[in-house]
Amino acid sequence: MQQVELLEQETFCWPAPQSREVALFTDLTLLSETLELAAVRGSVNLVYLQQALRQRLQRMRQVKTQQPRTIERILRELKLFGWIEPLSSGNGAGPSYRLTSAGVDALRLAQHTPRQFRRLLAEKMQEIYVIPGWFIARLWHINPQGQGEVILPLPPSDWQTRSRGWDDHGWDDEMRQQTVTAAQLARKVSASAFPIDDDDWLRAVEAAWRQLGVQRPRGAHHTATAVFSPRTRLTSAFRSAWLNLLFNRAPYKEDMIDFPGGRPPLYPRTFAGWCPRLESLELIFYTDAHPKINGRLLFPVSVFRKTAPASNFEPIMNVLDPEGDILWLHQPTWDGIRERFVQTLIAVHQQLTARRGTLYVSLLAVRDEVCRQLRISSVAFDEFLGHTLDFLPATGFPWSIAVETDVREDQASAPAQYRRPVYVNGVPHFLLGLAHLRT
Amino acid sequence: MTDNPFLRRGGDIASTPNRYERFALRDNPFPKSPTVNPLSSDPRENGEIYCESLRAYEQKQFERLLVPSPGRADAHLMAFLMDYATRRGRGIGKTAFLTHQRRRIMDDLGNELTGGNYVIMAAHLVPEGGGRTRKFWQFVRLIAKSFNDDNCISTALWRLRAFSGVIPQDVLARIDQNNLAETLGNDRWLDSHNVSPIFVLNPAVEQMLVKAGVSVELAKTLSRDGHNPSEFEQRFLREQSDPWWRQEGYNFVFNVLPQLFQAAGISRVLLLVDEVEKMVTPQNRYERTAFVDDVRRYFVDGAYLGVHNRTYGILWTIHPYVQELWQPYWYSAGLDRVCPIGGGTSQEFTVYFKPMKPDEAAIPLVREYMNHYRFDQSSRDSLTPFTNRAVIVALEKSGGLPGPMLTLLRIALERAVEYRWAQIDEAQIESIFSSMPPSEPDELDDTPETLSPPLTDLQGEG
Repeated sequence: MQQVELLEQETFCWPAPQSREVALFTDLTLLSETLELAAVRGSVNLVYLQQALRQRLQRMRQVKTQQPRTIERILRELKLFGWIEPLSSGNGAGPSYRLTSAGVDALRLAQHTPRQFRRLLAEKMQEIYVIPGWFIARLWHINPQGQGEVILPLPPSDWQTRSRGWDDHGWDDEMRQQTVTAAQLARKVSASAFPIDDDDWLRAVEAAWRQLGVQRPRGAHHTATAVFSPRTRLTSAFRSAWLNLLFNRAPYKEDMIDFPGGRPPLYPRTFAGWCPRLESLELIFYTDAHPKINGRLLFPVSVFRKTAPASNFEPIMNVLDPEGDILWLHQPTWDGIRERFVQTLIAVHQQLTARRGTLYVSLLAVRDEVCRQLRISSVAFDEFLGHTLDFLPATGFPWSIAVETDVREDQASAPAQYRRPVYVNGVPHFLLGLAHLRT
Repeated sequence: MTDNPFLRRGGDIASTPNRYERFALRDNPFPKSPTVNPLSSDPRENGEIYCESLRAYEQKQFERLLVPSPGRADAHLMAFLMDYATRRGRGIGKTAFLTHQRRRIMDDLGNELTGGNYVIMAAHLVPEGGGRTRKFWQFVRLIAKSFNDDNCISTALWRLRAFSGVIPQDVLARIDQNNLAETLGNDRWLDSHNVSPIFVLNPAVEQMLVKAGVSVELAKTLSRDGHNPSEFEQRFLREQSDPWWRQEGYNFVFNVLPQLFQAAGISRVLLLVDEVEKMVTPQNRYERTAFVDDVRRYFVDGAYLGVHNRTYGILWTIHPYVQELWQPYWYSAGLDRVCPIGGGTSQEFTVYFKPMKPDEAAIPLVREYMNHYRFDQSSRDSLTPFTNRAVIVALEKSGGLPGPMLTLLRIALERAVEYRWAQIDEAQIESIFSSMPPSEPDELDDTPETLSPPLTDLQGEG
């Protein structure tokens, strides 16, 4: 791959992060729950938290207990935010922590105004890691005319392949063809959402593929007996390639870096952690299950602007880009978006109904497309859907609506368990039916 | 005669004036029903009107894979017919293709196809929907039923009758080879030619079957009723309970019938399995595993005569979704070594069925249908009242699928009669097409695969 001289430009560069080691847990309620336990008990430590943190539904998977490593990371992050401080240790159970006064304030927000707590978390994460603001700005930079919409392709779903011997890792025509096809499919869906040239893409994927090929197999396997799945390896190579090309220190095809330091801002593991975090903070939306896309569809639901109307946007005053613009979250009021939301919900439901031939369709699929069209977060969607359930049927909208908690067979598969459910009154729902009432 | 409307007889439809006379047609040549029904007497719907040249390549592939020939005695055990029109699959012509292959094989028992070297038969299997063919024993019952419906069992018995030595040569010489059912299969006809089916012929056939290994009881049943499909259906197949099919069905289909076919000198019987999705989609994980394991056992390596003689060859008609559902189970059962369902080598075992190219296929196909209904031979090979462009556009609009195109042309011809159009051209086809509701749910979403622009502009709002 052609090496370009990267130039660090002071003016448009984001500040250096205080920490580059982001905690990879994605369920941010763990933070507020730990604060709560610390407030009730006076102090918390690893052993206590492992017993006390409740079992939870993470996406669609039940997580009964947290791993010690996760709890260490929670404590580390809360410490970085200045919300807890260590107590002098003495009982052999590892260090204990108590709330700071900032931690008490944060807990109060979490308990009474979860939305404000999310905003505070966004500010804190920006302050410590810089990634949230930089990531949104980068999405807008990649595809300005598509409002930051980016497609990160995966190998074509109809590619049938069989496992290979560990040493059989040559970059052949089959891999080349799948790589180009994946890029072409992504561009067919939205030309500007995958702006990488075929040559650059092929080179980057090939380089990543070769790098993965020289690694040793996990476990006790000898390379002569170990096998690998070409699909899994090509998927990893794709991830590495689009991260390297689109989310590196300098934007694609540019030589002015905007993220300080000598290391890339994101690695595949941290990217996998940041996407759900930013989604929970209502800064972006992403889905890996859009019916027209083989890969991840990602777009911001926030924008850096000087000003924005308060009826539709909410500022996070402490998240500024290098030019001093404020991060505005698209947070329309129910009154302001009601008609557009209901109309879009009905239109998307009708499209999916026509495709599947059933009245009840996946609520998650409807959510993904409605959020994409209206550029709203999944949290906002849940809220607006709740309003819609109260609103319909209405004058001018003679539609009846029903949501169900049943999980259809195709929604119970392993990949589907990583999708965020739609919450109505705190209960996950999975199916949506809408019917026109004939008068 | 009575005036009571409940006792009246229907009018004489034959005397109704021909609405299509103006176009030199006996009737509307295009099918009313969107599906092929092999049992229908209407040539538009039973697959009789068929343009072989349009699927010549696929037909060659089919022959290469499953039909034994002198240079290829060891034809594959299994192959796939892959519908590559994915969601637009309905009306691509798979059933017409399978029906045609069955007919051409059964017409001369593969004489022409195999250069006279092998005697082969074929049955067209259409699984029941709603999960009624999701278990292997249900599939076994379907095989037996289809063998009977498609005359495989009766043909074998007709051959046994002919080979029994009981029918004199002069009577055999009088057999109508185009109508075996009414001669060799007809007890009255044989009786009228001094061959007693009950006392002489059937016992002789029974002995042949017993000698081939069939149990006395089943040999009696087969020799008594097997030559007549409706009798065999009524007196044997329908009489068997579900538990019988679960316990004995396997033996009947994979031992007894191969014994019958072997005795009748039949080298191979092809199972053309249509709509495999009706079996696979309703199956749960365990049923899929069990089904695929049984496919291996009863067709590939079980201790059955059918396996030993390689009596059966199967063509599974699938589409990519079925491939996806079946693939892991297929691999687990080791069937990928017999007939890979995916991956590079699967191409060697698959007949790919793709949409037709409008500029190549539309005119010959429409001509085939119209020729069948021309009463005036001078109009033969003419497309009147359609223009060439009209039929090409019709196939284009139908996504290269013949089924929807024929429906579109049927409607167009009805409109031409009703509104007294002199000609049907491209504009009229387009106008009719745009006024038609989508015939299947998937069509709406098929063409534009691009994402629609968002309805909100985050930079512009405010």
